[in-house]
Amino acid sequence: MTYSIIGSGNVGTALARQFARNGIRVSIANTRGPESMAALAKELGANVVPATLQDALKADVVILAFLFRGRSDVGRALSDWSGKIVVDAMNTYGVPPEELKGQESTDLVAASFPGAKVVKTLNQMPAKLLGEIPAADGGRRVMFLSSNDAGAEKEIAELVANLGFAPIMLGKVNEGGRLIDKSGPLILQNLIKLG
Amino acid sequence: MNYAIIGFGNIGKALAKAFARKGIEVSVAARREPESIAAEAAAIGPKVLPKTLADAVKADIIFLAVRFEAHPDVVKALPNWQGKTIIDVTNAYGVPPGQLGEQPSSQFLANAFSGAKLVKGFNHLGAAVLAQDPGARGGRRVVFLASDDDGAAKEVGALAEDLGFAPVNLGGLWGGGSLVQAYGNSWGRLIFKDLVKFD
Repeated sequence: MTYSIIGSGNVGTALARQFARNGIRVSIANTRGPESMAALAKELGANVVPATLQDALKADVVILAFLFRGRSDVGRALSDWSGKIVVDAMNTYGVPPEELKGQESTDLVAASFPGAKVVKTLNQMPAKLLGEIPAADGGRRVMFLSSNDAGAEKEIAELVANLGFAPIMLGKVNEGGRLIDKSGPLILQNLIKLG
Repeated sequence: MNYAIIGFGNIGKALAKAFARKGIEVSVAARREPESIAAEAAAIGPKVLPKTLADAVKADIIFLAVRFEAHPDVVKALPNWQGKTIIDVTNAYGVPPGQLGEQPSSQFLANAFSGAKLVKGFNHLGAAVLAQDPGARGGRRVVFLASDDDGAAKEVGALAEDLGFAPVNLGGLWGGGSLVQAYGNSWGRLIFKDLVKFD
C-alpha cells in the first residue's frame, strides 16, 4: 500500500508529521512543486517524499488535504480513479451552503473522483491537534471515519490506527458520516479513547 | 427539578453513584420494596432515596434503567407521561427488530411513554465504566444523547454536565441516535466506546 498527501498547508503538514513519526512512507505534493517542500522534507526525514502532483497520484491511497474548492482541479488530473482510495480530509468551513446544495460534502468530493472509493476522515480536528502525538492521557486520540464502502473504511481505519489514533468507523456518509460533516456533533472534539 | 432512577441493577447503581458524587438528591426504585434496597442506597450516599415506583415517577426527569423487556411495568405506573422527561438508558440488544415495528427501540419507548419527552442517553457504556468518576482521568467522560426534542436534549445535557460528564448530542433518534442503539443482535457503532473529552 502506498500513500500520498495532496496539500502541504497546516493539515497536510500535520499529517506528514504523523506518517514520519510512525515510519510510514508517504509522498506529498502541492501546487508549487516539490522544491517548495524541501525544508519540510528535511525536518521530517526520509519517509516524507516531496513529489509532483502526477507522481503523488500514483499512490494507492490519496489523501486530500487542500481547500474544498480545489477538489475539481485535482479530480481532473486523472481520468479514472478506479482502484484508488481517496481520503477526504477536507472540511467545508466557510463554504457557502448553496455550493453544497444540501448534499453531504463527501458525496460532492466523490463526484469529482470518478471510480475512487472515498473515505472521510482526518478532517475533524484543528491542524494543531491533528499533528500532536495521538497517544495521550492514558489512551489514544479518537479519529472517526465514514464511507459508503465498508472495505475501504476498514482499510483506512487500519492506516489511522497505524498513525497512532483510535479509529471509530461511523459507516455510511449519509448516516453516521453526517456526524463528522459540516458542523456535525463529532467535529472539533478532542476525544481520547480509553481501553 | 427532581430526579429518579427506575431500576437498581448495576446500571441504576452506577447512575446513583454519579448523583451521590455530586451531592444531588435522587430517588431510586426497584422491583423490590424500597426497604429491601435501603441499605444499598444508603451505602451509595445519603441523598440516594429508596422509593416505591409510584413515588419515584413523580420526578421531573426519570432515568429508565431497567431491562428493556421490563419497560411495560414502568409505563403502567402513570396514566399519562405529560410533562416528564424520560432518559432511556436501556439497550434492546437481542430483541428482534420486528417486535419493535422496525423502529429504533428508543422510538418504540417514546411511543409507549405517551406524552413524555424521551432522550436516549447514558446507555453506551458498561456499568463498571459508567460507575467510575467521569473526571477521574482528566477531561470528562463522554455520554452520548439523542432526542427528537431539542429542549429535552438540552435539559438532559445540562444534567449530564452537573454529574460531571461531557454530553455529546448526536441529534435525532433515527439519525445520529442510531449509532447508540442496538438492533437485533448488533450494536450501534458508538456503543461501548469509552471516550474522554478534553477541552
